[in-house]
Amino acid sequence: MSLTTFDGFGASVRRFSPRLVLSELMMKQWFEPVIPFFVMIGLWIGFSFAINDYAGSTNVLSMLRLFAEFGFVALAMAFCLITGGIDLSVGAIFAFCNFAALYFVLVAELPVPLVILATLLTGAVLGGINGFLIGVLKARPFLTTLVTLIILRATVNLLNTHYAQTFAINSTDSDAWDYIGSGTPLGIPLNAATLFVVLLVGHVFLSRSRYGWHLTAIGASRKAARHAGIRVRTMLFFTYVLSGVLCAAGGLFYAARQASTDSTTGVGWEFQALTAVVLGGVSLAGGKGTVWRAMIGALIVFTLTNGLVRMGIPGYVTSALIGMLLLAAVGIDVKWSKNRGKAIQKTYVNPARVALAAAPSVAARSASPFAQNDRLLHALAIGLDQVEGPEDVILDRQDRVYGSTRDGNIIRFSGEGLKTREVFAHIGGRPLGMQFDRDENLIVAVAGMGVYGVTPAGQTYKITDETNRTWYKLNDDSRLRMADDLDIAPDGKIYFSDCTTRYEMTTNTLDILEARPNGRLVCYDPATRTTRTVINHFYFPNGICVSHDGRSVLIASTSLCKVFRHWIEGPHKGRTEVLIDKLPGNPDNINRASDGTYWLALVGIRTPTFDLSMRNPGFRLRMVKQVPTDEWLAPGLNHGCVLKFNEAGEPLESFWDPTGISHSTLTSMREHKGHLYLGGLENNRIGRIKLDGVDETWTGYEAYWGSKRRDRS
Amino acid sequence: MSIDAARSGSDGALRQRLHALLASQEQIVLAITLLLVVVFSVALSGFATVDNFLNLLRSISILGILGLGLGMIVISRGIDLSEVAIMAGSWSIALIEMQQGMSAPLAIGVALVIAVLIGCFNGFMVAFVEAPPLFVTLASAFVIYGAAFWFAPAWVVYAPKDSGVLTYLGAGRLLGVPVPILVFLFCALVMHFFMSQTSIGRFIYGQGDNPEAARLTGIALRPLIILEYAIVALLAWVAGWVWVGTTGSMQMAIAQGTMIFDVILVVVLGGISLVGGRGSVFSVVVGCMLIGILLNAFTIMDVNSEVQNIIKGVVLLAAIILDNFLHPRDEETARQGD
Amino acid sequence: MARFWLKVVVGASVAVAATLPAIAQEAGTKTARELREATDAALKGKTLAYVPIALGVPLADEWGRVLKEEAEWRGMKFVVRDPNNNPSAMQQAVSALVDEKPAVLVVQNPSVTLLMKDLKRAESQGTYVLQINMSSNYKSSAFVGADWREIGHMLATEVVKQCGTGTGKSGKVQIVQGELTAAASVDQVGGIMEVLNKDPAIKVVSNQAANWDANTALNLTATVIQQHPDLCASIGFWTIMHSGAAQAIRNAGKIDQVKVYASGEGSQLDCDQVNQGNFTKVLSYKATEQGHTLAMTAATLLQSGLKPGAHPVALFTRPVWLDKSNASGANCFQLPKK
Repeated sequence: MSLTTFDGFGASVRRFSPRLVLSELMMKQWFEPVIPFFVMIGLWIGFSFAINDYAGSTNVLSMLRLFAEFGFVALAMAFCLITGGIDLSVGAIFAFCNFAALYFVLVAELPVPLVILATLLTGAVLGGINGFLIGVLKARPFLTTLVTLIILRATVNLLNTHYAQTFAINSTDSDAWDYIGSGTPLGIPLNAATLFVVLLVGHVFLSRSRYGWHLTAIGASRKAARHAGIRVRTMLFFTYVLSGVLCAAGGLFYAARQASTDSTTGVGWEFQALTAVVLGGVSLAGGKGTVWRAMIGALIVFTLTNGLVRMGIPGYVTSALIGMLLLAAVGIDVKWSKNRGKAIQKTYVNPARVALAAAPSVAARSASPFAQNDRLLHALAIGLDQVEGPEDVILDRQDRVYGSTRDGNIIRFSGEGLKTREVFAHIGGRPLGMQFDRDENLIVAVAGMGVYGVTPAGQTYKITDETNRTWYKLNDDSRLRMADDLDIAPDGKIYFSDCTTRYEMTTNTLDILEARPNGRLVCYDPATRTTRTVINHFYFPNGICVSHDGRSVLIASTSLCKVFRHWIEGPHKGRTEVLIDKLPGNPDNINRASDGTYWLALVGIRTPTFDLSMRNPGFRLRMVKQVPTDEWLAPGLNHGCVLKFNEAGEPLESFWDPTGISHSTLTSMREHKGHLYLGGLENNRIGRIKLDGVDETWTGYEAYWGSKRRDRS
Repeated sequence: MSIDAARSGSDGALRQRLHALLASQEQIVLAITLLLVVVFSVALSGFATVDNFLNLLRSISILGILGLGLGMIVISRGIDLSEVAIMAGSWSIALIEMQQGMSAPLAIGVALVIAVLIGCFNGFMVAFVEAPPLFVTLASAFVIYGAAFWFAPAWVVYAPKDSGVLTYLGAGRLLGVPVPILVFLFCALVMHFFMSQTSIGRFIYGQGDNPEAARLTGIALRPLIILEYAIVALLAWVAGWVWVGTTGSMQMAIAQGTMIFDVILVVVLGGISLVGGRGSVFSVVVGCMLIGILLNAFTIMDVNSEVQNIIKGVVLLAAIILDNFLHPRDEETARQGD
Repeated sequence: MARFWLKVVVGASVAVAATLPAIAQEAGTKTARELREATDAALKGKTLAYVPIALGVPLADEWGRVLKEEAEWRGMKFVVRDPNNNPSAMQQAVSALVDEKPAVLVVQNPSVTLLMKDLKRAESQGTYVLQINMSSNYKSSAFVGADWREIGHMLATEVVKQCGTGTGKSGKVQIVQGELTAAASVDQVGGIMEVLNKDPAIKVVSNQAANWDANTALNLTATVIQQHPDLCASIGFWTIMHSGAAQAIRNAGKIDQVKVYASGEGSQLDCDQVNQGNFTKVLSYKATEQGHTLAMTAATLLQSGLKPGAHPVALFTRPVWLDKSNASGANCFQLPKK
């Protein structure tokens, strides 16, 4: 349980849990359409057994060529659905543009580039009509496009009849036109290759560009989008233009490939496309969907009809099979997406076994340094009811007191009796550990944001908010989730703890319940402006303190109830060892004391029941699953003490508030000019007690950057 | 907002006057319908006769009965694309059984049972599996087509000649009025009473307006949904009965055709919004009337069916635009997916 | 030595004499044997693929039945694909079939252009393509089926005979087309009009498309009969669809007065309709015989050694009028039973 815990990859392999992988997998956005995806793969595998040469490259390529045009139409439908609308005229626009392309080639005899342009323009104009009615006139999409479907279909039928003879007689021998129909760049049919490029662009557009976000936002909530200043009408107009252009692209390829225009072209494609994209996971209600999901759905519909017909199955059986498969797929998919959140919840917490050594006694009047006393009972209250949970406190060279509070502020008390309260800086997030750097900037670890600095003038700036990602982890751990405490080494490097990569500030109790090495020690190097993870997989690292000699970092592990030392200089550099093995409670921040020892806050005191539960991961798992949150057996992080220990890790003395009224959740303490200042995560004040027999000129700043430094000896 | 304000200033007066006259989409459609009646009566000889009106009404009665069912389900914020398939499937099987010697009343009962069972299945999928209705009913239309074809492998099934009960609803006349009209009228009245006077009917509006609120007020939503889909199937069965009586046959092919589009069209045209909770039985009736009058006049004028579609589409677009002109979408209260 | 040879010769002669009659009986005539061998070599084990627009339709089912029987009797492998009225599925199925290189491909085109390119590709790689009832713009090895212009001519000639100059009738004629844009419809209308236009007494009062749907045909006809109570004849392009028109005329009480004609595949259903008096006459293009012709053509082409598509031939099938006198027995093919 000691050193071996920290060799990163090895540890996580030993600690491998399939449930954990599953839960993190389910968290992934790209995992959402997993059911349709496997249906697609399953169908393909099924058909490759049932049909000869199905999996051969010839067949795959020829199927891709057949599929591509429908792919374009499905994509058009997907874009409209994502904006919360619908375009039932996609099949008709496709047919119309197919006719138009043939007209441009065979009757107007335009050069091929112009044909392409003119066809796409035709699609844009037809889409523009829908867009004008829906976007500008705010007509209802379903009814409007149903009507344009009727009109366009009838028009194209009339045109077909009129030009049937001409088309039958005329022909073109343009190589470029043939290339559009049957070209194979890199061995892939041109239409499929184009579709793929369009999908890539569409994906980037939808998920990475401003306008793509606007589309999704309109689909998710038109009202909210409008309130946010998105130009809803314009965006909707262009969505239908886009839909028209995509259909035109499909029509163009179809014309070049098939040279066929008749009353059957694209018939029923509107419902096939709708089925496809909804099946793939694009929400009918709008605001949800990706181009890939649309394509997965389109491939399912295509593979299914194509495969069943090719197997020579009677049409009515095909119909029934398709129907049943759709019902099953949509049923499972609905249940899946509805319960995905619950499934994640049920599997996300994966407790591991931690056998803690027996806790030292804290009984009052015992000889133990941990013995309860009332030395904090009469602490002076600074800013009573004026601060909300000052997790950390610190003092500057002008003796002003700073507290990092729940509302995202750094509150400063100064003046006579420290009665003047001011908001020194508003950072946001949840500011936790603090330290002054050489230039008297206040460096703050902010949960949910990263590490930030505040200049003496109160100006906030970002230092870092990400570190290197662990390559083998599903969970993207590059962002700093919960920077907890920090300290600065003599060379200016900022060492800070990121106490969990799986939970948040509000759910960090779960991390302790889980008792897995989810945290890490991270270092920011101001010289190179880079952030690297120093120790990956650490059990809830919390307090960080650079030792007096500046050669090691002390790390408090809240869930293991131990303090570690990590060497950053000297012969042991890179090694991590246990400094204090047995603590009676859960350690929080560590800070330097004037006599060369250290202060340590215990945020809670261990209980035998919780220690027992730490040895029973099954119990904790059942508890998390079955018991309401407020009845969990949680670590008792509500009452603690301040502890003093020396360089060898030996506890020296402790300070208690037995009533728990004024200083219950103790998370921090700072020694400054003969006084000890106290901070607490849930407290409504900053406390101060007088220390006897200490160096009354000692301040934190001097100990780090000034005359009281001990690292140069 | 400033653009809206400017516009309403310029044509506000006209809009207000029209607005007072035409308060809702169904009134707009009604106005257009009446206008067309006047125009056609003057322009078309043989249009404004009692016989033609009866014929016109008879021709839309099947569409109308189907529309009543679909209209109700759309009001409840659902949709049923399998309605035509239910009609075709249940009656194909019943007619095949009749050809094999089943008595007419029993066959009618068989069709009813099949239809309602399918309806309940649709309802179950929507209510309990919580799959989107559009999807469920689209898929079940495929299944119905396949299964019905398996039971009754015939493209078209003719009704046996000597089956009075069976054909009376479609082919009979009562006091000179074709029975299909009376059936449509009866169904419309019953549905109107059901939707506006019974608590279940009001629940359906409540559900369509806000399903979550409806559920929280204590409406048993799931049984209600099953009931709704069963009612749609019931009306499909009635429509099928009329169909069999009128044409003397049932064609499985209509299950795959575009008829359901026409049904959706008459429903949404009359002002039943797809977001649910809006419109009434009257909407379906006026939607049917408009389509029926257009079809009738086109047939009298012998207009090419494609040109018919274009004209029909343009008239519908006019109705949509007029509605948007008179009832501009209020962005603050408009509902998503309208 | 000589005795030995004598023995051998005698023995051999006896042996030959003993076996000769047996050989002669088993081998038959040389020509017959050779013909059979040549035929088998050309046909046995070859694949005949058949792709209709949709199975389940009497016409396509009958073709399929005959083709299957004939092909299997000839030792050929018969494969069928059922696109079930889905044109894109049909195009995919044909495209995939072409890749499999069958010996013969029989297709029913849904339009003149849809399959054109695939059929051309099939022939270029050695598959004989037979097109039934409607040729695509690509003329393949063989076309088998009805001549729609001829059908139109025959229908119209009969109408002129019944309603034309000198009959004293009104001369009013209604035409119910299938799909306006389908080539079969276009050609039939062309043939009909060619004849009807020659007789000044004939007036086409309605020329509408019912999209192969009996109910639409019924609604159209109901309006027409009501506008023109003195209608003389009604022509329909498919018996199943036109049964709706006949029903409308019957509902109007004019079934004895209006002559109802339709072309059709000649199934038992058509014969029943004729015998029940719904149709005056049905012009049957006899699906059974078309199926046989297809099989013959396939066998001929396979043995001809011709390069596919080198000499396109058209084999029109003979249409036959069915009326009450002959609408029975071999003139009506039976539908597959449940």
